[in-house]
Amino acid sequence: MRQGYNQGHVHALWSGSIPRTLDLDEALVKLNQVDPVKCRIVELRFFLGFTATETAELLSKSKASIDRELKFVRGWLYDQLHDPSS
Amino acid sequence: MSEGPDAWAELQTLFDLIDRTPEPEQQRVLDAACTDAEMRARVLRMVRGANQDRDSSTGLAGRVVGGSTDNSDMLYFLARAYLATGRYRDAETTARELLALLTDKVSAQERSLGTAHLVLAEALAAQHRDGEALPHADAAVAIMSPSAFTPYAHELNHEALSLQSRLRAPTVPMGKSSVKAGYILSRCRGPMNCR
Repeated sequence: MRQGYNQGHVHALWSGSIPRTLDLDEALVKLNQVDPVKCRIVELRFFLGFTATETAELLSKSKASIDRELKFVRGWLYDQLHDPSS
Repeated sequence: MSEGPDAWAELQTLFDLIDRTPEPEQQRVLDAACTDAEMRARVLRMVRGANQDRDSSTGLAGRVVGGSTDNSDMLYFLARAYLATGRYRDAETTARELLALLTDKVSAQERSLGTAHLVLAEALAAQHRDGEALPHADAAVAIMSPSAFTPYAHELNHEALSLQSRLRAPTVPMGKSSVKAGYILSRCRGPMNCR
């Protein structure tokens, strides 16, 4: 499912400044290894276009939980894509 | 950095904790919650990254209000709300928008211009940027003092004078956020249409 991410996907996920060429695919592969559920949330919300409520229903979680986990992932991706040591 | 199960769980716990902590308190809370300096730096980066859109979207309020000074109250009370909830950077951004909206469009002695300076001064002071806050506190006092006729206007005027006095007295301890937060919270009352 996670094939062919592009710059448009990045902006859909998080519209902050992008300081260097991204390897979003690599970051999401890493996320999938560490926490597959969070990776699934990203895929459903941003790559398949599900709403937070629909994502919550699909994953049997509350919407608040989805929102919280997504915010964490945004921060984690920001760190991955901005910190050269990550 | 390693993303082992323990570190991952700690990262999430710290992220949630710091994300819901008011910005000026974040470093202190993080220092108390985590001894790993690298982890602390990472959590702060993540929280800032996750909130980047929120920060950059603050300008949306200005776009909703548009260029009309008739709607400046909305920005004023939004800035007040940010102050009351510890979102000092958002309060600063909104106050600057408010000031930009009013400057050169209303009289230099217009009371709303004084309250804009006051809320910006408070946002800066809450971030411990007293040097930047003082000129705005001075401007607030200069504009508001001659036109304080209603009880709420008197209260705001007193607030401006008090802030100005504290900013001019660097030996007075001002660093305790709890005191500042209480001070700021106490300012967020009064009817919306009589400032």
